[in-house]
Amino acid sequence: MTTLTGLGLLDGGEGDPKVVALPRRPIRREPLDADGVAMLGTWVALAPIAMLFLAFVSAFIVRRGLGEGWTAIRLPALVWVNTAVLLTSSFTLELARHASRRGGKDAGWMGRTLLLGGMFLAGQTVAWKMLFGAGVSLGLTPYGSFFYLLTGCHAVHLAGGLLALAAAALWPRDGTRKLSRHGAIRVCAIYWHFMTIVWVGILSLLMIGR
Amino acid sequence: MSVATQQKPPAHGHAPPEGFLWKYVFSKDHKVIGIQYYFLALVSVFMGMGMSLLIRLQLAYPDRMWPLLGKIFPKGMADGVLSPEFYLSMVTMHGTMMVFFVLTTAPQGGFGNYILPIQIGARDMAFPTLNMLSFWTTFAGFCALVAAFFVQGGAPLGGWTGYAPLSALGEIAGPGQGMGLNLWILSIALFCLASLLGALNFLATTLAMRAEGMSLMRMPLTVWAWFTTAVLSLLAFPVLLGGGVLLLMDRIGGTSFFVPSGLVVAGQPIDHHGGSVILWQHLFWFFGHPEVYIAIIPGMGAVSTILSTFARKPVFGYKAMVLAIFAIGGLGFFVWGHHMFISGMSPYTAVAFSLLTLTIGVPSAVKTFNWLGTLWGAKIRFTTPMLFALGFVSLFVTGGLTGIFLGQTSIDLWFHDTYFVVGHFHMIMGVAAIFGIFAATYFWFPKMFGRLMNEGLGKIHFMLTFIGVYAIFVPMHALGLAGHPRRYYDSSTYEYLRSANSLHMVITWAAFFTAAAQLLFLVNFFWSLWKGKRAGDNPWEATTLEWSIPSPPPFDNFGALEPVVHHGPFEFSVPGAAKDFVMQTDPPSAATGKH
Amino acid sequence: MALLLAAIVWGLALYTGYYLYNDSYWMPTAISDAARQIDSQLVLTMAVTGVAFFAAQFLLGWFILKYRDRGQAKALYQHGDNRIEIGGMIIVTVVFVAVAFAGQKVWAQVHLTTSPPNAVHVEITAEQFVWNVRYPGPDGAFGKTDPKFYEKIGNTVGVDPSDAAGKDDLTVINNLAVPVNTPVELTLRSKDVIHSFFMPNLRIKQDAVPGMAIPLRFTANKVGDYEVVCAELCGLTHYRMFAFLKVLEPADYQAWLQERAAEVTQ
Repeated sequence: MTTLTGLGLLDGGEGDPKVVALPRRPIRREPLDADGVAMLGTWVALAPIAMLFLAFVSAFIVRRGLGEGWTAIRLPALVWVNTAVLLTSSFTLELARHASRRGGKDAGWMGRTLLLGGMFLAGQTVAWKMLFGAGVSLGLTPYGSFFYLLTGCHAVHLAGGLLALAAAALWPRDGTRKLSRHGAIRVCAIYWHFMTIVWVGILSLLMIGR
Repeated sequence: MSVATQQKPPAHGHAPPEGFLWKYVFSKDHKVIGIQYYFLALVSVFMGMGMSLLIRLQLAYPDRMWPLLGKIFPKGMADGVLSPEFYLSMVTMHGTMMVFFVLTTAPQGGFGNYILPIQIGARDMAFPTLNMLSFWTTFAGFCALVAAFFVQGGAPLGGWTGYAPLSALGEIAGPGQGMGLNLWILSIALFCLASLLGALNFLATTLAMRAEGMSLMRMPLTVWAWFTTAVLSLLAFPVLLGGGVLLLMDRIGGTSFFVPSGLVVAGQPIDHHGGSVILWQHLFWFFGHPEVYIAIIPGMGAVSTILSTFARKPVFGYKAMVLAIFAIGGLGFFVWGHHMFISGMSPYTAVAFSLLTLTIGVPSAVKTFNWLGTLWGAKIRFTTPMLFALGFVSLFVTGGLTGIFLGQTSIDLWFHDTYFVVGHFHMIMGVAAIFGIFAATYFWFPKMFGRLMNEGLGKIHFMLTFIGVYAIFVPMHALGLAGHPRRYYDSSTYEYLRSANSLHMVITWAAFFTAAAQLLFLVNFFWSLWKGKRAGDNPWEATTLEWSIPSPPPFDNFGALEPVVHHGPFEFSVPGAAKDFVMQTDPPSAATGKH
Repeated sequence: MALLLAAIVWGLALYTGYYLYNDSYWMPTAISDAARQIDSQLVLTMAVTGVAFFAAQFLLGWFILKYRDRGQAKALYQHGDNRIEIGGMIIVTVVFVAVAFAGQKVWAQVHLTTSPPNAVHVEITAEQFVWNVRYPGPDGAFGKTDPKFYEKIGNTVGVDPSDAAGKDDLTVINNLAVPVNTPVELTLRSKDVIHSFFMPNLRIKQDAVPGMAIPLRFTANKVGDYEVVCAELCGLTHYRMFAFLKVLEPADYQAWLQERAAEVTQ
């Protein structure tokens, strides 16, 4: 136990009874509360996600520039349906966020967003199955490889977002957590809308780069 | 001078955790996490050092047999002879382990986590749970890397840079390029994720959780350094992660991102089409160059702080130092092509990269001037942390100046892929950055563990190591001048290298000597943990916030109250002040100087 | 301690100078003008960095000595000096920019020029762990290649047998012969992984990258036999992947080509 004290891993600075008296002011409200810090963290987190997709996009551009065997594949129409679903989910999430502002009823809109998000992921899975079934393997053409790569990476991120949405939907309203329910929903919204924008970007790239 | 006597419970009431698992294993306390990172780095550095000694043994005595080692490594050293695959796997794993699990772990994950929140007056990082996850993800990456030694085929042998197509082709390209390489990629991917989580914390904490009075321009240079390193990490690691994903897809998904058509390897045609070999290098080095600044910038921050503390003088040119850190970090994103002059990329692009590369010398020179400027007119106390900080300056000059050779396209025609490069990056990373870690260790050990390390042992450790590292790496530059290529298992057959080969002996002996000297550090470290003299709050008479709290700090760093900052970070020798240092939290009347 | 430390700092600086300026470890004989210019640029850089190096290490040691704690109450209280800061920055910038521009000169000669019409063209196709050196033959044209035509003996480069231009192509292993004082253009290719063709006496190297054909130009001005090594990790016997550069008088060069061609038909 003494060792662990010495290692400073037990709470309380019992090692040294002499505490230098510092002129300190009592607690005051910090400039950013828990909601603010969570939002800051979420905004900052968008940067590395953007860099990851940018890395893939630059690989796409380089490979397309080389030409050889590029052959675009025809995307299943389902992909467009899924896109509409995702765009709608951003819309419903916005409604949820607005509703939660004054502690209002957001559960319905949150539920709809979750449903739409789940539908998007399910729809993407079906679209991949359709393509695999049609013989488009991962390595058939480089365009195809990038399609799977970009949509797959997006889906993984969105799945994470879906989990966060579920957690936010279940968030307590009574202030027992540091982060407020409204704050949790706002954080999800920043991330989710970003992933929608990324999706639009991916689709645009896939269309322009045919 | 009014002392607040109100004792209010903290706004973010988090009681200390209960239970062994939550206190020491899955702790969310940035201090525990910092120590966990540090110990991970300590284990890694000794593993990496062991590997380097095997490498050196082979290079100095290529024809010798080592029966004892043959018993320890029956596969890699059958009959006591180091095989080429074992050698190359040592080279690869040594580099990977050192760059990631030592140089990117100890300065940022270790010291950054422990010290940053305290230095800005915060109770913990912004996202403690995320912090805990980031350590354990790093640990998982470490396990994946070590596992590569034990799978069939063994550890990969493509160098820490893992160039495609050698790394994309699988086992046909050589032993260790099968499962071993997959684990290597997994390890790096986990490391990328962990670093991103950590960097997020550093950024949010620095921006949002500074105590009252701790303006940005009153932050110690260590905080600026960790902050900038976090920004670099956020922008660079995702690109490595992306590259790793693409590589894995080429290896097991049948894609051809990096593998062109028409390859025939060991007589077998390869079924890949149209990939770009150089694309891997672009993605890797876009990360790889900022990575080396990630490795050194925290050390520069620590050295600035330590030099100032033991010179009893403010840092010379604080603002310029901050701007220089930004410049180095920012410019670092635009020079990655200097690793690729010979790669086949456009020679015009090469010229552009070369010109940009040489501009990084300017902020680096500014920092060196300012370190020297901090010493000018000083009152130097030669404690062990100070010795390592001074050693850092010497090494930074040596290592940095050799970069000027490598950054010129014409000269890189000669030096690319020779030992000059190996000498250069070891001098600046494998030594200067390590000296930053040593300086930080000796400096903050009393704070972290409440005990002093032994000064006598520390000084001897410094002397032997300082001399030893020069003895190892300067001759390596000579090998490069002679044109000795890198990653060679044996160079004794080449006529043009005849005179240079004697240098291998010098380097190997110096390496063993220096490695042995590190035992002094280990003994000092662990003995002091248990038996070191008790340290007070501020044994070094330093000024930043961590020295205003007990050693070791209480669970929530500052207790129930919050610090208020009235002074800049390096107010030493203020005329008119009672002592030769004014702490940041001293009342405003304590100094009549600036800030 | 101050004296000891200063002595060590200065000692290590001198030790560094000794190893780097000791030309017994330096490059082998230069056999082209470009090589000599690279050597000059190297010496220039040594001089410039040498000045900076010794100045910095000297100041470090001197400050350690001069500003050790000698019992005075306080040190100098100074936060910096903008004039010194800016002045230093300007000097460093000027020097680095000058060095940077000077350092592009030989690169431009090697890579930003085109070969004259009388240049000898040779193609080098690297593979684990051998250099295939192909000459275009009297017609001066290289035959098309395709991996499906690879044969371990006799057609290591995969020359298309139906291509007329390839009929007189000559492929040798690990030996590159060139005529002296004649511009040579090498084209580097690879069959499997990245290799790098490094000719120390010419001071130049170029990666051989699968999927690419990359030119490298030189003019050798000294007859002799020289070593060539691989300078990019390519697998297990990367360290033994060497070749020989033979610089010959034009008549000897032609004779050499004929001897090699005769060997092939035997």
